[in-house]
Amino acid sequence: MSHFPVLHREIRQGQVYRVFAWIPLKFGTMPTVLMSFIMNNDIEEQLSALLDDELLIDHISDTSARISSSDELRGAWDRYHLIGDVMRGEGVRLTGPSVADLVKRQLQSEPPILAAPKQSIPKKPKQSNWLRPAAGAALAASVAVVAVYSLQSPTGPGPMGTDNRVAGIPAGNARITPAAATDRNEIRSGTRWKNLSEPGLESRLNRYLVNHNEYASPGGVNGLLPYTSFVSYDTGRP
Amino acid sequence: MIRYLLASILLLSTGLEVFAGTAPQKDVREWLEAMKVAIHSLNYEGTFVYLHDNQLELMRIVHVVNQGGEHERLISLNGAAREVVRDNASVTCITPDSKSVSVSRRAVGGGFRAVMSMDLESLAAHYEFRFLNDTRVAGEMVKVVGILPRDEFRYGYGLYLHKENALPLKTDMVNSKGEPISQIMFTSLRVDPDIRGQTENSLDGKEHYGWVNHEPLNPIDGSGQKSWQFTGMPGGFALDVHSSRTPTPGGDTMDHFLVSDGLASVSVYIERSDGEAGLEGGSHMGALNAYGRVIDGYHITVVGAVPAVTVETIASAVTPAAN
Repeated sequence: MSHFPVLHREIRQGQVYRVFAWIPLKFGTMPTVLMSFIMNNDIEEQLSALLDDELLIDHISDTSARISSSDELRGAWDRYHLIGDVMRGEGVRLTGPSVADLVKRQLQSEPPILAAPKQSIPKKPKQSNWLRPAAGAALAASVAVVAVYSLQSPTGPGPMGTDNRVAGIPAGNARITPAAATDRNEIRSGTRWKNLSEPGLESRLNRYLVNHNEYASPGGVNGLLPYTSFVSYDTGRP
Repeated sequence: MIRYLLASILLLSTGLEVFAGTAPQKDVREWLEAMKVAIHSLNYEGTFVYLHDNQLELMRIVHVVNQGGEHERLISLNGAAREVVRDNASVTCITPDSKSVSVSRRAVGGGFRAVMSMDLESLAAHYEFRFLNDTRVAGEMVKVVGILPRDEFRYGYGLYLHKENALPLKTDMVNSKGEPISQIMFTSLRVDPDIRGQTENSLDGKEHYGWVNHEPLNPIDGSGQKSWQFTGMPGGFALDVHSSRTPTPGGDTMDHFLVSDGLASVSVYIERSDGEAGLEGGSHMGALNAYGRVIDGYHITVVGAVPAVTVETIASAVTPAAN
């Protein structure tokens, strides 16, 4: 339960700038998913306080009850933990329909944002409790996006580095990439087998795939590069 | 005599043109045949981009044909320098990110896939073949052949073939709505008989890699094994090849069925489960789809570059044969 005190310390040491460099948004142009976070009500503030061990004892019971009865609040709880994990540099492995996927899915439905307005980067945190629901939720969404792409680009510059900025514009990709249009309403975000219940399944499927490539395309239509998908496969594996 | 010969040639070429004009599919077939021959017989090296899902990747390919047969090296220029080196004897997959090398010896008589002829007449029931407008790719004029699926069970292709050597400078894979699933496009390509000796893998520090050797998966005598049948497959798909193999010495056999509609192909793998996890339900990677289910203690796994509905339907079509 001590995630946020740690987080606050790190933020006060200045690491927040590295995170905020990755928020290419200001409130005026912010996608609706972030706006909804920001416009949230007191409960998220109580949630944040609970994580910080700053919630008045009288409110703990009520807040806990509301969290347990609300999928949305449980999601927010997960997000706040994710922030702490990411900022402490702990390995964060996002699996399944994680919050990152959900945020990313929403971002993909938003108009592409291709530049980061400078004014959206706060110069200095002036309030000690600035990480309240508004900024906190925006940070959660941004970190989640960063986390997704840092997992997919481990061999490149660090996820917080400016060199990776292009990779931080997935929303644009979704609009300008014709290959994103598929016959399924799923996020096809990477080059690894999706929806696997067991890690061992991946190697089994790849074994099948390599074998299958030897037989694929009897007409030879894609015979030029049957191994393209294999070479490409999970280049983003950590 | 020479005049007769010239007249014959003129007549023949005119006749071909007329023939091509009235039966454009013949021309399409000729282009596709030329493409397959070019892919396997020319020496070339080039860089291409591979666009799939939301990802754009850059790869390099070197293809050389010499007395030893075909040699090919494919390397990723983004991220980990994954690499696949193929020749007539083996397929070597190098994955620097996981420090592993996988060498698969090819079955005797295997080698690169034989260039099989495509039967456009029978394929016409499920695909429409036609020329699209000529255009330019990587600075070269290309002939564009469209292969469009007639239903949702298969993908189609847009092939942008170099007008002189018929190599595909761009390949689009599309779904039944014509939407791109993946695209490959060369940004540079050099065709030169003098390209040689560049298909060796670039492995440094071999001692630090884990090596996995897969011995040839030669077919074995499958008599006495459990047999399977396929009923209710998507239209046009039929059983093409069946082999029964032992992937590991002394291990259980693995049945491999290749199901094809003449253009797209799907592999069906059947292994005894032995408590190991098997795929149950669907999975996908780019344009590849897989579907798995368990029948009588056997894992049925279907893999192929076809839509999800196809692998699922084929998986459902597999049933134990009554012995």
